[in-house]
Amino acid sequence: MNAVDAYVARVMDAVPPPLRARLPIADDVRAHLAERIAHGASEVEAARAFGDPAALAASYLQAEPMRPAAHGRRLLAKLIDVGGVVLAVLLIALLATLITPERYVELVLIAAGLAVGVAYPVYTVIAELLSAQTLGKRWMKLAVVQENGARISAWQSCVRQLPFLAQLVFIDAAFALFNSHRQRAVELLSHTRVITLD
Amino acid sequence: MITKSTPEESPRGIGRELKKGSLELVVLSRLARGEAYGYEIVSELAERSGGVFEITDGTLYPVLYRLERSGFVAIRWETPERGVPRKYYQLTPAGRDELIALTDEWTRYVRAVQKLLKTDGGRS
Repeated sequence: MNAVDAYVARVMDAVPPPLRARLPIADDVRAHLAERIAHGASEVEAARAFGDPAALAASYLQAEPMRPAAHGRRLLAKLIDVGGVVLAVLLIALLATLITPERYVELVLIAAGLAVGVAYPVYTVIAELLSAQTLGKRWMKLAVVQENGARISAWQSCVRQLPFLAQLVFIDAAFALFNSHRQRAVELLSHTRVITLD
Repeated sequence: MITKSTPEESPRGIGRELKKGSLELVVLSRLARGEAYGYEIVSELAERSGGVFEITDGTLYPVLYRLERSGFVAIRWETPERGVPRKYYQLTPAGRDELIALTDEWTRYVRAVQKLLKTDGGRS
């Protein structure tokens, strides 16, 4: 990978994967880097002239409309995700009961209940970090982004799951009713938001 | 002793803020004279402003992208026989209207500041 490809890749790292603007931004950055190189700069010098890739991505993303997701769609996305995790864990638990001695079946079901409590936030943290979407958000055409439109960090992805772990889901969600970006309490805290992609 | 400083050197960074606030206007104004490509705009702005409007590529290109997305600027790709395709920017009719509106806004702002400076005699 040359310096131009590496720089464009770093810009793209900061742009959430589901955004349609990814390709035009990549094309634009690449074309302008090529222009500077055509005027005598080396690849490294050209990349340096563009500055910090994450800051550049954030500047480009200012041109993109960031419409807050509707409450109903967010709720549906959440139900799909929770339902999906519950189903997956139950399926595994049911298979486990088939090979477990009868006196341990109760233990398996208790473990399954606990596993849902762990699997849901872990899945959400990983999915939102890697692709800005969970399965539910993908189906509902939603994405999680930073307030400036950039991709969220690991820290932000973890903070977003705090209400679930602290059992404060409803209090946290109530905050979304009282601000224009429909941000939950932890979204205000982590400077993230959920936007609609259509 | 009072030392003179350029807007860019100003300790309060007033030049930087002014540049940021007027960049769209300056770019639209440049494109009103004819189409241009990115590097050409960066170089011209620095040259014609005597170095005051020296901006980085990372500052200009997101602004051009924003103008393009807003419909104020249209693009045209030109592929030379040798070399990489070049992206040319042209002002659209909507861009021309925006330029008129921004110029009007800027003129009113400058007049108001000048009036205030005259009234206060430039004292802080």
